[in-house]
Amino acid sequence: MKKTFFKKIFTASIISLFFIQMLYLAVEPTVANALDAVDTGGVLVTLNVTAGITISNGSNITMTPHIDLTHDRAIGTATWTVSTNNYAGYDLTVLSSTIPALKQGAVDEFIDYTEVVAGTPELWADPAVGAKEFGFSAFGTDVPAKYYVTTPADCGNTSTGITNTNSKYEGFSGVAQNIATKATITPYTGIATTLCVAAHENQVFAKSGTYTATITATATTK
Amino acid sequence: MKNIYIKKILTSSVIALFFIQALFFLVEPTIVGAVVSATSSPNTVFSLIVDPGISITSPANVTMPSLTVAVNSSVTNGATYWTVKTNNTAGYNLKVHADAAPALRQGVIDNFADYTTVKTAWVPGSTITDGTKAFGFSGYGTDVTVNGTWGAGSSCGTATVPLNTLLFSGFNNTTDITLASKATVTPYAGIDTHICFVAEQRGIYATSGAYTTTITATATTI
Repeated sequence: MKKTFFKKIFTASIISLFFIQMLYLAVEPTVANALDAVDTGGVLVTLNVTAGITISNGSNITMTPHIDLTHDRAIGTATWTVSTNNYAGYDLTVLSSTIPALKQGAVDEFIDYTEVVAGTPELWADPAVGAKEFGFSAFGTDVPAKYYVTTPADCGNTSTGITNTNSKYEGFSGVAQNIATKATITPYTGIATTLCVAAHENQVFAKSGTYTATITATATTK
Repeated sequence: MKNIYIKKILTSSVIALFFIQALFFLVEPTIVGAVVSATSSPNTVFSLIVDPGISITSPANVTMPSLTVAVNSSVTNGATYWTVKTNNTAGYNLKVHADAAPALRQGVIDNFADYTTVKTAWVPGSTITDGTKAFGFSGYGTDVTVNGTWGAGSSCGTATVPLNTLLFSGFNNTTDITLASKATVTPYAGIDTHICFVAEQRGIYATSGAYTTTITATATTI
């Protein structure tokens, strides 16, 4: 009984081995050919391409025009270029250092833009009467479509501070917000993404002085 | 002998396989999940400059109620006011001055002496000296009650009797006298400051004719 059992296992193993070998020879002709060679000298060459990512420098930007008794809004523009060789691409996020983002120390501030549907960018809408708001939009090759109607050419009119009618805005939130994404490597020269910011006071005076918003842009491989 | 040899090889193979697998599981997450990021440096700082500004309206000319042989005092109705708007963080001052001393004159024919600059209530028939004529002013409004020096009120009184809660002053030639002040920005609609003019003849007739003065109001950021 025991002998028969081992006999069966042995036979099944031989048959299985045969089929595995046949399959191997079918899918690996190179190996099969190599078997015919009399002598072989193989070398395994390995090149590791390490994933990396770079982002251009930030800078200081003064929004235009200045707000005064006759100008109640202003816009600003910043552009970052991201380069990566990461096969899965990258994400570009922006983060404000404070909540709200635009402040004049403890003197006065603009609240972060409030969307009708939180987290969904929208065409710039006037703040409520008596309110002051600050928000952002973006455009560029890798910018999600939620930030525009059709890709705008600029952030708006720098003389009047009126935003581009194709841009959709949202407020900073104190957490990193993705403004560009790509699922593969970038060109060698990188991909430029432009951040638009806008400030608007509606029938209220922002206290005179300089307001600042510190924005950190971070590019991360996926 | 051969059996032992195979046994040793098998055992060492199994042990080696164990360590190789353990090593793989250890480093595998690092290899697959390696994420690199780059942060733009320095951060991008958006600045919004709010320039201080101030504006003031120009009220229409005012004609005081007439004095006669039977009417000895004249009080304007408070319809003369200036609206000041400013976004200046530290606020504003509103000052007034006359064009000459005494302020209220009928050319070289006659004039009303300037009321004392020590702010005091004005009671017709008793405050000014008998046999004299005087001209003065007071004001009311949100920002007028500077340290209470102008009293308090929301009107000038009647056509012949100044409001008894207001305090009056004479003009001091072309020297500015502060009528209103605020230590912060105004509302978008501005702040109204009303001025009340009072003229009185006591025990003496003012020579008939038109007496005039030009009052200049100046709003200045603090």
